[in-house]
Amino acid sequence: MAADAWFAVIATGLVLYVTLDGYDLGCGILALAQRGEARRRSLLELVAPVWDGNESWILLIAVGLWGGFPAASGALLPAVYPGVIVMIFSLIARGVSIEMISNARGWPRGWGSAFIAGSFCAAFAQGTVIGAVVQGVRLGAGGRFTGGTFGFLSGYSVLTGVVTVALYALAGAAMVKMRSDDAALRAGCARWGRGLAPAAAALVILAAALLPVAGSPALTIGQPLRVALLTWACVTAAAMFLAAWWSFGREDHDNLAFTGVAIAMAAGAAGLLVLLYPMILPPDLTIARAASPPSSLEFLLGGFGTFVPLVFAYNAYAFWVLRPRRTPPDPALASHEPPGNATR
Amino acid sequence: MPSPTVLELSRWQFAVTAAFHMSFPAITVGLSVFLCLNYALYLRTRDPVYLQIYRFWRKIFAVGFALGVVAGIVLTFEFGLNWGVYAHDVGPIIGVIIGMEVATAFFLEAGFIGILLYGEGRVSNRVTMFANVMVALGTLLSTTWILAANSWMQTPSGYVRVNGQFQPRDWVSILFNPSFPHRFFHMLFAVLIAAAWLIAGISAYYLARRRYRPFSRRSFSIAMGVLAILLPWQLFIGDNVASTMFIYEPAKLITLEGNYNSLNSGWNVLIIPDPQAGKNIFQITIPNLSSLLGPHVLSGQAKTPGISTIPKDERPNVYAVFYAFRVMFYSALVMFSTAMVGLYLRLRRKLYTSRRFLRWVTWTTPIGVIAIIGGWITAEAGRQPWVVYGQLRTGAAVSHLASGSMIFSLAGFVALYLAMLTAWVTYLVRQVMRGPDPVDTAGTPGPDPQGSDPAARDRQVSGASAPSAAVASKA
Repeated sequence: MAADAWFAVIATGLVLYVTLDGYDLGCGILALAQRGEARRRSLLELVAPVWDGNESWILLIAVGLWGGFPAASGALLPAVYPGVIVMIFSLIARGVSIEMISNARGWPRGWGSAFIAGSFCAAFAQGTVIGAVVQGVRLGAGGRFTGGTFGFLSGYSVLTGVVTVALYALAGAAMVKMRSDDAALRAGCARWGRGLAPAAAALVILAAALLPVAGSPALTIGQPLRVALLTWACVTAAAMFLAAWWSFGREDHDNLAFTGVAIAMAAGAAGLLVLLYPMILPPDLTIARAASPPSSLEFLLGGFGTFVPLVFAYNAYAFWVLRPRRTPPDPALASHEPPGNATR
Repeated sequence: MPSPTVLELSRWQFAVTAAFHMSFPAITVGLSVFLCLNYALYLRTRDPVYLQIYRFWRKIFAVGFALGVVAGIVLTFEFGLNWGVYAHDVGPIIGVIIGMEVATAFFLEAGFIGILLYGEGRVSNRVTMFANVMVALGTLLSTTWILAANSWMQTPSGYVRVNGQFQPRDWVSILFNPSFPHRFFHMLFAVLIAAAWLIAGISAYYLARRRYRPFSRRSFSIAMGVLAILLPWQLFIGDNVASTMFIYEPAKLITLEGNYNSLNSGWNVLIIPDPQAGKNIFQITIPNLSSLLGPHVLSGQAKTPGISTIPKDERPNVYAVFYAFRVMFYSALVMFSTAMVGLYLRLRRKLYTSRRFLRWVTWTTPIGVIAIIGGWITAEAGRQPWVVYGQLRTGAAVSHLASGSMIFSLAGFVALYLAMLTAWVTYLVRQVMRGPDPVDTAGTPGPDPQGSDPAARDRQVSGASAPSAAVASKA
């Protein structure tokens, strides 16, 4: 029971991570398609104040898996070593370049390329790892990974990598529509969003259709509750894709595109986890087999139950306070900072 | 089972990534406290100098914090990537402690850092102050959890082993394991000292050149005052750490003393050990001093036990432990003497004018960080060949990986970290050369280059100036 509850916590972390860092990485991917310093800079400024907060959710997944399901963490990570290493390198290069660009002026070439390439490779690598989990990791004696270095790479995991890149880029375009006040950028990204939405949907459908062939045989699909939940996830995702696509074609309804993409991605991630359950790493590790003893799980659940609601509260507050404004900030709030004096 | 090459490469990779990560918290924990202090002083006194200090160090804190975060994410993954067996065996204890660190400390910092860096002009002063306190609280909590986890690996307690896996029996004795209290305070003081030394070094640089006088005097005064209070305590706590170590982890203490036989009561300044033959080829010793420093026997006759008393397959690397300890210990002595000279100069009212002293402090700017890295190498290399002392050998904890992927990742980390270190040092030097922004005396408001976008304007406050940005974009 405690193990299932902790699985739900990690699942929440995964859903949050793909929706939050997804748009964040997506802005980096979209910067590839944007011409001109000003547009790229506007993209970066959407990301700069929030990237480390968004990225921090991946820690919840990594550490939650380790503390709650040490057997899964100790088996999965060595199995996808090159993928995770590429993701880490990319996230580092990207994080540093965001800070460097926002502390410089214009668009420094080298840091700019690192920002774009890092966003792209991190998204792709994450997608391949998800594909590898769905395909399953065979374990050797003592529940340890003993396979080859590139065993996790296959046609299918490359496909899931591409799906992830497309979805993140779509989320980035939707975020631009919602929060950027750069008109040229908004128009450019809306065009991309209009095209990306059907393309991403097609890729998702392809990956889902290949699942019975490519996925691990340990995954079962045909149980009534599971079928019902999966159907709901698909219907929600499809409806939200349509809503986003519609919104990208209009000048108004700025929030709808991102809401749509975010809910669609959350539904997709949730569907993936429903498909996986009660496996955590097919074909050998179930949630119950991989779990830490109850004393560990209860400590974790107690700690997270106390602190994560607070985390939500202050992250939401920071997100709201730091939203770009269409009007200058209230000088009365900045009594120590006379207007116009801040630049030098 | 795993090849020795993979084990060696994995150990080197962990050493490189952990040491690199550590050098950022080494200063950002202390800086976050310093930022709190200065913002609080500003709100109380409304003296713009405090705001100037706050804004200058916030710029350095921002980049140091971001680099520390990305380098820290690496470590979280590495436990499972390179040490899959370790991840499986200690997950129910160490994984849980790190999980609590993420939930209580890391999320707190990550949530409020945005307000701290970009919130000025958008939120009230009191909210800014609150964000500062929360970020500082986050860094301190983080230090606590990390030290609890690492101390458990040094002195494991409160667990049962089930099929090789360490499972918690009593969380209180896991968290408050025997070495935790001493090592926690040792590290807490160390990070405060390292940050204060960085601040002192840079302020001394300005003072020696008579630049930014009110700013640099105030910063230097606070930093040197903190150092004069903390350093005597730190020597005392460090001595306690060694005493606990002798009870619970004798092999580490014996190795850092650097004697093979148990006849020496002197302090080894320099040794060239021959681990195969089990003796020192060469050594320089100050007679009787180790008796005084170690067991505090004033007669000078207490002898240090030798490495020969440790079973051969349980000996740490003598070179690493002996010299890393001396790097830390001598740095501490240098810092202590300097802080005391500083105290004397302050009483003689010469603290801000003695050029020789100011130059000396400038040249020793990174000494606190160096001491911390030396201390951690002593702690970690001294625990070998165990990853959980006395229970789980490092060699048995490593993942099944190809040496090819290890070479790829280690080379990648070295290249990436060298680039990051260069960028970080360049950024630091550039910020120091540029100096603090004037706060209330700026007569001419500069043209706002990015129109009325408040986000861009805010970033300019914490960002680089136009000339240095131009250099950056050409580079």
